[in-house]
Amino acid sequence: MMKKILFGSLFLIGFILTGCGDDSSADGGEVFQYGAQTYSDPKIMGQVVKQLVEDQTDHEVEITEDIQASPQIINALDQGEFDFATLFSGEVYNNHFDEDKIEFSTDPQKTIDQAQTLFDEKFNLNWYDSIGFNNQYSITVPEEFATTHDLQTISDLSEYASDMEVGADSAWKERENDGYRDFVDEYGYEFKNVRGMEISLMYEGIAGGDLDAITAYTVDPHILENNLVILEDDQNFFAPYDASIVARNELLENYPEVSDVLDSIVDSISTKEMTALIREVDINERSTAEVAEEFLKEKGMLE
Amino acid sequence: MIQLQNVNKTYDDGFEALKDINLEFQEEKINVLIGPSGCGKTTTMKLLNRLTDHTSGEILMNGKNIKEIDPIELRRQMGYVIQNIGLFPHMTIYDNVAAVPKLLKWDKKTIKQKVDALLNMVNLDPEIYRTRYPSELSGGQQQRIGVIRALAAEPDTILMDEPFSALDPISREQLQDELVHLQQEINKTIVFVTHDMDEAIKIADQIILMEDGNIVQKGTPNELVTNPVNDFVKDFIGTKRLKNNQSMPQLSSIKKAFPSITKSKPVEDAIKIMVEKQISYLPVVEEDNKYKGIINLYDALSHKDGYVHEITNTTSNAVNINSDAAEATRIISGSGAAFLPLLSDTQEYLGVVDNQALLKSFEGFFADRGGEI
Amino acid sequence: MELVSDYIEFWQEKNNVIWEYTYQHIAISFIAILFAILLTVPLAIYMTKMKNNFIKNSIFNIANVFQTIPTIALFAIMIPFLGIGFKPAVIALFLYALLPLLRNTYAGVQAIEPDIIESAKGMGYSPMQRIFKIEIPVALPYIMSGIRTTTVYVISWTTLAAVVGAGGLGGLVLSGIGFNDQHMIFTGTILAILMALLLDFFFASVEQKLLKR
Repeated sequence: MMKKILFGSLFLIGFILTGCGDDSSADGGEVFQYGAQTYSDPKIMGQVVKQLVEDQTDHEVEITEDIQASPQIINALDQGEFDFATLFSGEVYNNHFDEDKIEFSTDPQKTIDQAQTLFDEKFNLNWYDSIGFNNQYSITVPEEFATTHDLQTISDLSEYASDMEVGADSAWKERENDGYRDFVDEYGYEFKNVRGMEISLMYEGIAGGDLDAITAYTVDPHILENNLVILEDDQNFFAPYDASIVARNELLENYPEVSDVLDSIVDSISTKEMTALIREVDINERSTAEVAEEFLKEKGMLE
Repeated sequence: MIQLQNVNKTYDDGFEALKDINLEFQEEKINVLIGPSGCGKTTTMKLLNRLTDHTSGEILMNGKNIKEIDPIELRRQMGYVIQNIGLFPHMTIYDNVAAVPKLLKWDKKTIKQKVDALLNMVNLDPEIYRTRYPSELSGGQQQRIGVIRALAAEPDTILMDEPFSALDPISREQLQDELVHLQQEINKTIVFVTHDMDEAIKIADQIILMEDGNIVQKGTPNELVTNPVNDFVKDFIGTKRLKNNQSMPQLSSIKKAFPSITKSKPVEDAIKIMVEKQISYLPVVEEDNKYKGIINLYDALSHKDGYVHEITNTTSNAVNINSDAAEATRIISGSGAAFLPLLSDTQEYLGVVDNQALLKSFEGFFADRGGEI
Repeated sequence: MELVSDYIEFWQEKNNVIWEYTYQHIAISFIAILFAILLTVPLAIYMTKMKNNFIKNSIFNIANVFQTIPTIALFAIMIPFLGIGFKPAVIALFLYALLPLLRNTYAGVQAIEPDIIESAKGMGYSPMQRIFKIEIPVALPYIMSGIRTTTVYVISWTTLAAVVGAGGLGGLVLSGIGFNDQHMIFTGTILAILMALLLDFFFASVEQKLLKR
């Protein structure tokens, strides 16, 4: 009996998987896969890619959202399960490459150069130049706290750090180069406690007073929404996270028309613009498709 | 001593389980409460250890109203055995038997001695059974443990609620025998509930038969069987059992009035009586009506001028009125006489029983038994 | 071979951190389960004595509601009331553990043959002695199996506590996912599994000891 159920469900899963694998579009072109992380900027970029590709070629794009982390997306790209994604230059320091091949740098250009070379070499991926916005780690504190203690930079926090409860994404605690341990070395002070947790819950934590500072992503509209201020990274500690479209080389060679579309996205959306788009999605709860379409039309990239 | 005085039990829904019960349990005897289901027998028993409280009336234990005794204390003073044994499955046999002594905080050594003695009493080797768990025992063994567990704290009174009814017939018989045997040693006041009349007859000293919350009859098993007070009792005992226990016909019931003559009278008087009654024999009595012997018509006719005592045959047979028909038949068939004089315990002449009446009484007796002669 | 030596190196480098996550995991699960047991076992026993079916059903329904809320949602719901970190995690897991513990204990006591209770009553066990000497020991297999399954659940759910900043092995797994470190993911997962198995084994042997019948 158990066996029957097991085989039955395996069969069903197989059926669904192969069903999804039907990669022929209505116009006779291909169906490409775009993978997005859990946060809103890669999701919006997915719509941008989809709408532009479908507008300008015969191909279609399907978007898979809420992939837990960028390394998983890179894996999927490597496997050919995804064709495109939006990734950030600092990802190059995220344990993908042997230490002797890579040199940590906070210089944006050096970082993106390394990403382009190394991901091409190892994963056969084309890492485009920056879309124009970056989304890096930052230390943010409530505005009131910053004003009271006249805080501008992360160094200014040193006096208060030993009493501070900090919320961070789970990986920040453990990552190397730009993680918490190196932060302590670089800035020379420790916080009272650093808690790894879900990014969206950090804002609730700081709003409720349980947290005194959080490691927000710079593009996140919740920063303004929650009256937080970003402290300046005066030691130039955090790695740059410039967003780029990434695509599989193999695909681009076969479909140069797609490459043209992706080229057009380079340098098209500023950090400020992206923050506004995310705000529409996260705070005003509009769909990413609608927000992206509206933006592309405004910019004249879409009829 | 346990007495129930005008005890009533009415449940919240108005059901009257017991109606004005007056009852005394015989001390050191097996008292069996019996009756059809719903008659109040179990309720009566549960009143005694206050698993149920009575509504009105008084229950006295050694003269003390049990409502004034803490129920927990009261229960520890009484053994309790239930139908489905109710051994504690998580405890060894030892711990089961030792349960109440432990509650009473006896010292360990005393408890151990007591438990071993009790196990021996029911022929279960302590060395083997002490550390076993109830599930490792047969039903019969389990209920033996149930019984000795009730004895462990040496209570004067033991309540047994249909203790053997869940057992197979063979184990049931064995345990009944053992209980009777055990009782000869321990002499406890046992209150035993059952619905099985055979069981009651077998073990009871006193049977209390109940119906609809009333006591219908109480007495020894023999009293109930030989003298059921009404049809309900007869029905409950069962026709068959009544018949099987029925004794031979009593002579008193077939006695016939018959003339007699005082020994000092002339023989002529006797001849006159015999001719008048058309009989050939006549019993002879003393002046105080004590039986003397018998005369026959032939002797009388050849001694017309004499006195009765001169011709009286004093060796002839007579029979006591309390003998049964079987005894009379034996005598009568040995002597060839047509009738036998009946005498009281003090040898007074009462009448006769003749062979026709005897035959008739047997006819009726065997017909009642279903025609098996 | 290189895999193994890499992994050993990982342990040498990170063992402090790993033990910290493990310790947090144990603390969260242990306290949640402990308090759940302390509440539910007496409550369930009390409920078996309760005549009022409405209250009884209400208690079961409330406990049931907590079970139906997705774990991650329950963690998130806790935050406005209890803030972040240890407290909401423990309380959410505590609420989750209620139903299986309550149900098992209740069923266990309920399943005791009435004859056993009747016997104990008739022999002069006081109500408290009955609970502690008869009802709990007899229902123990049920109670223990409730504790065992709940413990295994709670240990696995505790991995989600990382989401609300309470740490635990889930933190190690999430860090591993975010930082692209397979060793961390593997270690967090394996330790959580080991912990569940060990505790299950522990409870099984306690159970064995307590009831050799």
